[in-house]
Amino acid sequence: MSRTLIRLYWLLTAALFAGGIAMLIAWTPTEVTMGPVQKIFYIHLPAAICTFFACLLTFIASIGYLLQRQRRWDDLASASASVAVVLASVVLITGIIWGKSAWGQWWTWSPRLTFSLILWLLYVVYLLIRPSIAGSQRRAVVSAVYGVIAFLDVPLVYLSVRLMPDIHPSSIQLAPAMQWTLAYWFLPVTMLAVGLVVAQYRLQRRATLHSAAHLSDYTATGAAPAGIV
Amino acid sequence: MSQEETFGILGYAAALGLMWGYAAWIWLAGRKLGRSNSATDEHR
Repeated sequence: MSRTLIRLYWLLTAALFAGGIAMLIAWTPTEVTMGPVQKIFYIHLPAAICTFFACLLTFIASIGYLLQRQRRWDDLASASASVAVVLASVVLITGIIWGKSAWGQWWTWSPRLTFSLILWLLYVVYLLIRPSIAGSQRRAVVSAVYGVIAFLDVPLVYLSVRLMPDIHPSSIQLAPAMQWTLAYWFLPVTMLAVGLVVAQYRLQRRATLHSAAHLSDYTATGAAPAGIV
Repeated sequence: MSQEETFGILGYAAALGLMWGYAAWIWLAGRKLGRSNSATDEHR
């Protein structure tokens, strides 16, 4: 992908965010009960959905690695896990602020909130344990198995409000202008999430190939060791 | 400014700061890696 296209993509994403903020200030109606803080919802929900997809990508890439043992799958899994942590942090922070206004308390151990916190912790641990595992192939295998198991929490987060009594709303009725705002905000948040995964993956690939080039300096053939790509 | 407005602005600032801050970190890490690659090539 050319540099111009990448720059255009990021510029468009930034412009869409600016448009979204302008929309919130000038056009989106203020909710009567909660006031302006309700507008946090327009970034909270898209970030939550994108978190699920980032976790799903880690899950798919982990299975890909276990089946094919190619480092590109491991790079993709760790890249999407990094993005999942960032997005899950956004979900937790905005949710906490929203909860303070809606429920009068920053945090409550309801099923949805608890499983969401566990999800965040699972992927933080994923990123923390990777550097401590010696050997790139061993690290990739352990990470892949962990990436598959960690994903099991995603259905729990999604289904918790439907299967268990929960203070967290399972659906919200919105006025048409609010629905348009929510639909719009999916665009910049999704574009940013995709851009982050691609950028982080490219960085990981470059780092992997960089270390492979270092290793090949010490081999007779100059070829990258098996399984490195 | 009301407390609701302050909370709303804080929420968006934190969310956008995290996401765009992470994008900036990736960009900086890419530049650092690029410089490191150039140094390795020169060494060879």
